[in-house]
Amino acid sequence: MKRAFPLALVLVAAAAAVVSTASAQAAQPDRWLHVRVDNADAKGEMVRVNVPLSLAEKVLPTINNERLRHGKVTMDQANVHGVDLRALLDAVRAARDGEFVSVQGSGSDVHVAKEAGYLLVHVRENKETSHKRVEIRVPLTVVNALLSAGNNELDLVAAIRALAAHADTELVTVKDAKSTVRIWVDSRNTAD
Amino acid sequence: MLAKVMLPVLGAAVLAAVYVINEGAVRVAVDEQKPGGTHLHLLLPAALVPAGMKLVPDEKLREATVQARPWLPTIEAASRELARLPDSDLVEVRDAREHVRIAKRGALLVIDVESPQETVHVSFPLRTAGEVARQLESLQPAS
Repeated sequence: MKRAFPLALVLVAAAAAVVSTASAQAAQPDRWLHVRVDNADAKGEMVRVNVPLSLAEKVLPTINNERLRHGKVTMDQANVHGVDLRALLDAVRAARDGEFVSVQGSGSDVHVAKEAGYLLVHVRENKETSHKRVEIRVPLTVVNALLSAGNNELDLVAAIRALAAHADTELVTVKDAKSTVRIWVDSRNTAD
Repeated sequence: MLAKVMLPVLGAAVLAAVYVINEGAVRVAVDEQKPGGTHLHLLLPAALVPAGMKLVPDEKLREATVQARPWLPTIEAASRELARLPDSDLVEVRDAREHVRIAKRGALLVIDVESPQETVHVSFPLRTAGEVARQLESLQPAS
């Protein structure tokens, strides 16, 4: 009987250690990036991705592969489909609120604007076969952070930090007749 | 007399059980749906994995590490960061034929794949993944 007491003590101490480790791990709230793809057709394709921004912030600097190094993307010519992306973002950052680009073509309408601290891009396809709508809404603090590295670099880690510090926000919505894509940031760890 | 002998043995067994439970287990289950298909079920205490790696000849481990080396810091960082997060479904992809889920459950990373051909379940403690990555990283590259 005398020996049962130390054994019980050891068991209680071990259980307490397990519980305290678990509760310490669950203590901090986090910001999450969500991607949700829903397809309305019969095949019912569905994608859900929930990534904590802190995970991306810690993991990105460890990846050194091709253009991504230490959390920064090198853009040799800073050129995407003939558009100087960095110069474009720099110009938008420096400009006042308002609509910068509005192109109404036969196939699609494109509007780029800056409004209340956000860069907004709206694309609406007007084809007979497609009425896709794309809405992109990026906080300018994130754009600034993205451009905070050198001339030929985009700082992804700084952008993620800025995104984490921002309020809940819808970043991208793509809708067409069959599918919906949403990318957003909030403090929940589920995409529902 | 019997109690005097059994109590320390029982105590050691309980402590060992608590240690193994705390460290978790690596579980791999593969079930092929076709008749006569493979049914592989493996349950291994995670505490044995880093210890077991010490038994593998250094040269073999170095060879195996060559391809994985650039990603070892990523695995280590991801394991450490995921371990402190609450339980969550990280990735879920479903189509007419396949269903893939990657989730964090307690101290484990759980991967489930269901398809008409097979069902695969893999779960392992995140701490073990980090330890294995650290252990492999500490090896000098094969000469």
